[in-house]
Amino acid sequence: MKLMIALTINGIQRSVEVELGETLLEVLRREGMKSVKLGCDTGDCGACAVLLDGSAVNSCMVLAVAADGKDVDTVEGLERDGHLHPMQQAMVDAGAVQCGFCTPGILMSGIDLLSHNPDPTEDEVKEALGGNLCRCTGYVKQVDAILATARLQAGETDA
Amino acid sequence: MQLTHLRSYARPIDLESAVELLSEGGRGTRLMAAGTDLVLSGSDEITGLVDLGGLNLAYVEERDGAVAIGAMTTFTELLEHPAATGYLDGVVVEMLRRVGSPLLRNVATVGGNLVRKQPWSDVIPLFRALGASVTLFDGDVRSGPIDDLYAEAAHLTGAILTEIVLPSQPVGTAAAFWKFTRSAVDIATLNCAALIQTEESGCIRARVFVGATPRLAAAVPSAEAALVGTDLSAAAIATAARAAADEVPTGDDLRATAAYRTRLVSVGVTRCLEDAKRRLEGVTS
Repeated sequence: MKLMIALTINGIQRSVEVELGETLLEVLRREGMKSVKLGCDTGDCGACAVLLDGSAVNSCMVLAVAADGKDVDTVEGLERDGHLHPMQQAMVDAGAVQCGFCTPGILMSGIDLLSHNPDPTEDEVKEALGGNLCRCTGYVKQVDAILATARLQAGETDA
Repeated sequence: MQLTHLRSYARPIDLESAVELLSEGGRGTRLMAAGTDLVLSGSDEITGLVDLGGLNLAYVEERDGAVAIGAMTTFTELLEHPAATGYLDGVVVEMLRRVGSPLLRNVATVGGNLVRKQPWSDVIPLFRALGASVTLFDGDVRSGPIDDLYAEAAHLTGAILTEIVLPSQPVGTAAAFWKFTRSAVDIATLNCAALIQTEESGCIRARVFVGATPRLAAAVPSAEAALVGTDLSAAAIATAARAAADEVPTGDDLRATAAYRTRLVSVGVTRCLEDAKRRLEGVTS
C-alpha cells in the first residue's frame, strides 16, 4: 500500500509517494539522492547515514513513513555555490577518499559531531565514526579531515 | 523493502487513540517506537504499525534524585542528559555508550529496547539491577516494578510502555555494568550489571543480573545471597562469581559456546562487583 509523505530533503519540501514497508534509504535513492549508499542494509556499516532532523542516523533502519514531516539532509545538499562543504574539501585535501563508498556516511557523522561539539578531541571523532565502516583508508585521514574542518571553522568564527 | 506485508500505518497523537488503533488493528498490528529492531526483523507477521512517535514521550526529568525517562527517549538524548550523567556516578551513561554506534543511538529508544526483550539488551540487565519502575497505559495507567515486564506471565498485549523511573538510591549504593563483545559495535556476547548497597555493617542489598547468556537477562540470586552480610572483600566477590558461574545457565550460539560464556559469567560478575566497590570507595578506575 502506498502513502504520500512530506519530506524536507536538503531544504526543499517534497511530497513523496512511498510504500508502507519501505525504508528511508530506498525512498531517498529513488528520489535521486544517490550519495545514500545501500551497504549492509542491517544498520552495521553506516554507508546510508543521513541527517534526520539534524542527527546522523542509518536510513536503512528508519521506515520512510516514520520520517513524515521531518528534515533530511544528504551529501547532495552540502555544496554551496559550486564550492564543496569545508569537510568535503578537507577530505579531498587529506586524501581521505579512496573507493569513496563510505565517504557520504562519514561526512554525515562528522557534520553531526561538529554541529554539537565544534572542538572535538581525536577520540571524540573516532567515537562519532563508530558506526561508519571503511575498508580502504584505515580511518586516519578521515579523522584528520574532520579535525582539520573543526580547526578551520573555529578560525572562521574567531575572525 | 523489509516489512513487505505492511498494510496499515498510523501515528496517533494521544495514548487513548494509540490503544484503540492497536486493538482495532488485530493480530498483525504492532506498536513501533523508533522501529530500528522492528524494521530489521522483516517479519511477515507484521501487517500494521501504530507509531508512538507523535505522543511526546521523549523526555528526561530529574525528580528528587530519581530519573524519569519517557519511553520514546533516544539513547543519545538520555546519555547526554545531566540527570543521567549524575545518576550513580554515570553508570547509565557508561552502559549506553557501549550500545551500538551513535548512528543507532540517535534513533533507538529506551522504551523500544525494554519491550523488544532481546536477550542481548544491555539496558534490561542494568535497569533491572537498579530496580527501575515502569508505567504502562492500556486505557488505565498502571505502574509497577520493571521486573513485571519480564515475569513469565507478563501480559503486555494492548499496553503501551510510557515511562521508566530509575529510583533515588540510598547513600552507600553503587552500581556497575560490564559487557563482552567481539567488536565495539557488536551486540553482547555476555553482559552483566550489579548494584550493591552498604552500611557500616557491610553489604545489605545486592542485585546481580547476567544477560545474553544467550537468553534474556535474569537475576542471579545465589550471587546476591553470597554478597549480603559480607564486607565485599575480594574473597566475598570471588565466592559470588563462583556461585554465578554455577547458577547461570549458558548456551551456544554463533558468538560463543556455553563453556566460554560460563567463564565470562565469572569474569563479568567479578569485574562488575569490583567496579561497584571502587565507586563506593570513591576511587575512579
